[in-house]
Amino acid sequence: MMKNDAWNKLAALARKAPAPAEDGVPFGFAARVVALSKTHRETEPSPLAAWEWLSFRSLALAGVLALASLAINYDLLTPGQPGDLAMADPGVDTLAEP
Amino acid sequence: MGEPALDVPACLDRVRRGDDDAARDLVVHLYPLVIKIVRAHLPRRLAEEDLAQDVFLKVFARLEQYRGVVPFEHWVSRVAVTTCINQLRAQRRRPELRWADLSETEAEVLDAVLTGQIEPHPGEAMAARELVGMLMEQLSPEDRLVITLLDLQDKSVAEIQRITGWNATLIKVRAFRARRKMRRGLAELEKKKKT
Repeated sequence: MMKNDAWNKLAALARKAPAPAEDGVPFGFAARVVALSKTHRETEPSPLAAWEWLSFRSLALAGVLALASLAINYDLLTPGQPGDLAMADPGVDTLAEP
Repeated sequence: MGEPALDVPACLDRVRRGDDDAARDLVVHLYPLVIKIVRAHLPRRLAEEDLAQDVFLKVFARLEQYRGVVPFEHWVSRVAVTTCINQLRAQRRRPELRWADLSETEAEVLDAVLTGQIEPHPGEAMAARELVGMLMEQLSPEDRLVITLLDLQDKSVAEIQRITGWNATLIKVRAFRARRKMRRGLAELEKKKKT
């Protein structure tokens, strides 16, 4: 029981210690904090910065893929010569010549 | 005649619009509140002004997150408490307190408290405060915070809820655990003294 009281006694005695003097704001503290917070805000990356970076990368990648796709399928996309159709699809010839 | 009280909501509006004078007024208004929390939970080897500065920088950085659900002072208290806890977490805990670590006055105070034979002199309160501080360095930052507020600053559980945002059960559990550790620490010190 005595040991259990030891903490209470010690805490009660510690409570009697004089509180540190309530001195005001140190000289220049407020100005320094405001200046630093502004600097932090200017240098701190926006939460959207990572997203922006990712979006630009994705845009570039999408562009490259689109160009590659165009290059691979160039033949299909360009209008062919009149004779090409018959060679490409013999079924059309069959329909054309009953 | 004292200065008129700061109109906090109006001041916050001005701060959000980028008014530096309003930001400085806000720092001056909140400084006593912040420095009180910082002094009660100051890690070793860290100047109180540096920690207070960190708290204010966080307050300004997170100002957009303040929705006005709780009074602004409570919100700032929670930012201050979180900052202090993070700093205390970064600091290594004191491994173990030995009798040899105590100053002469601290040893006398502890002896008086442990034996219960003499009542410690009120003038020895500062030594007791130092001693409590050393013992508390073995606690987790959260337990340390609760016991400081409850047993040293005489705050109620409701007040601690407002300051920390923790629920009453959690506060009571932490207080119970912290007091048990303090009593165990004192008992071990007594044992070491005898051997």
